[in-house]
Amino acid sequence: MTTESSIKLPLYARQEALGARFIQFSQWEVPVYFSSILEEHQCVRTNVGVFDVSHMGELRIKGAQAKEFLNNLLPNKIWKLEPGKAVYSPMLNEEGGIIDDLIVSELEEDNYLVIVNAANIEKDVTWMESHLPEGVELSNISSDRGILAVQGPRSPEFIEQFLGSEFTSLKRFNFKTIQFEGSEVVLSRTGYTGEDGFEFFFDKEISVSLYDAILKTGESFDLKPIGFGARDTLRLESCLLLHGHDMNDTISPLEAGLKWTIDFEKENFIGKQALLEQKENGLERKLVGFEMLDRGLAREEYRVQKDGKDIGWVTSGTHSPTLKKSVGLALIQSEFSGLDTEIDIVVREQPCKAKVIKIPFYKTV
Amino acid sequence: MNFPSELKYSKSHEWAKQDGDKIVVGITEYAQKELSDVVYVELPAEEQETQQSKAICIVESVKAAFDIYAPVSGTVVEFNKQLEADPGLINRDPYGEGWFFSVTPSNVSELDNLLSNKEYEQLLSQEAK
Repeated sequence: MTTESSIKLPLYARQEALGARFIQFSQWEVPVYFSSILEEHQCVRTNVGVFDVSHMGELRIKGAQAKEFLNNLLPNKIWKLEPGKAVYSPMLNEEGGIIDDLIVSELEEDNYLVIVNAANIEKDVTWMESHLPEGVELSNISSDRGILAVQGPRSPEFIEQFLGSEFTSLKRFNFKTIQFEGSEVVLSRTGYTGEDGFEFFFDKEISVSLYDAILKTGESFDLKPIGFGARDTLRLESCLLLHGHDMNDTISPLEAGLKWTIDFEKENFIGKQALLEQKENGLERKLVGFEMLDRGLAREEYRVQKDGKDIGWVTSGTHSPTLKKSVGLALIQSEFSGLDTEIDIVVREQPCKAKVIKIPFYKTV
Repeated sequence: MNFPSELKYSKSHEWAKQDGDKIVVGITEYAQKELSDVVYVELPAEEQETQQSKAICIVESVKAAFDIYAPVSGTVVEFNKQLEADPGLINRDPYGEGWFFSVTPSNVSELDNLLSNKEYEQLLSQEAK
């Protein structure tokens, strides 16, 4: 069911014709699956599929001090960026909590493309504006833009046939600008599935023609359209965190295992002081991966217990189609975060045995 | 979609089939399609009491958990153990290999409270509106 306030994206009609089943995600109507979540998951793990993630936010940040602004705003190494390169970073509040996680791409000197989570667009813009120095310009172009992601082990082969062999040499987190129907498209080697893949960022006017062109070239690859159901199982197997679930304004990147995104060497960034204190005092909580030992599926918000006492909660949980077992992420007291520690997940009032295991659950070779 | 005429249907999308003195229970093709891929089943225990229209077991798809309601009151005599190892049977063969459990009914006339296949199809077409 949909409410009146829901937004249909440019590819809605095409996806409906392809048999998509829609759900409401934040304020957008997105396809949850086309044929079956399990089949689509398998398609991305073994072959290649296309996701429409046009609901995501897209911001442009320009100006002579844009880089300095972003470098102070975000904890990762924005200073290291150069044209054609992108970086993943959380965005923190002063307390070190994660306001959002995003990808910053340097289009050219003093000109940045920032991809943010759909549900956080307004919050992010408000936060950034409150720190925006003179001479730096921020524009929210989310509603004018579209994003498609081609993901899976055969995506380089697909890209070679679709665009030419010069693009298969793109390195992870690098991008190039291409022309499609006279429109500029950013093509980056990024994704949210744990597989090799590419993402297209473009003006929404070409959404349908680009989607159709991808599906057409994809025919010889058996490329399938993939829904949000498989997007979630894919990202969770690979332990790619989801904002609003595995991290939020009150969870720090150190707790969430995102220490690799923090450049403590740089002079300052918002949240640095709080993170330094956390580092010094030790972490009370940690995000861990677990698998169920008893039968049962762990779902978000289920309580985690040790010897009958609450020690945290499940932040994401699912049936892993690749591993064929029930896995999840949980934010729990650090003392129980060691590998192989037995914990209980409370499933419908019933404590069920689980065990802390190594993350990611799934990794491509 | 297929709704065999020899089955009776509940408004909550279970089917019931009289088989001698037992009643076999499963979910309809419509229900399995709505659930999408079933990945987990929590079956009732043997000898568990059922009450018509009360939740008796749980199925989970990749996305969420759903209650299954007993179409008749009685006592569970058998459950389909195969579903624990291969819950996908529910999607692949909802009226056959994907059956859930069988019950000795305490009152066979409760079957009259259920819908015929024609009535059930009518219900679905109303729900779609």
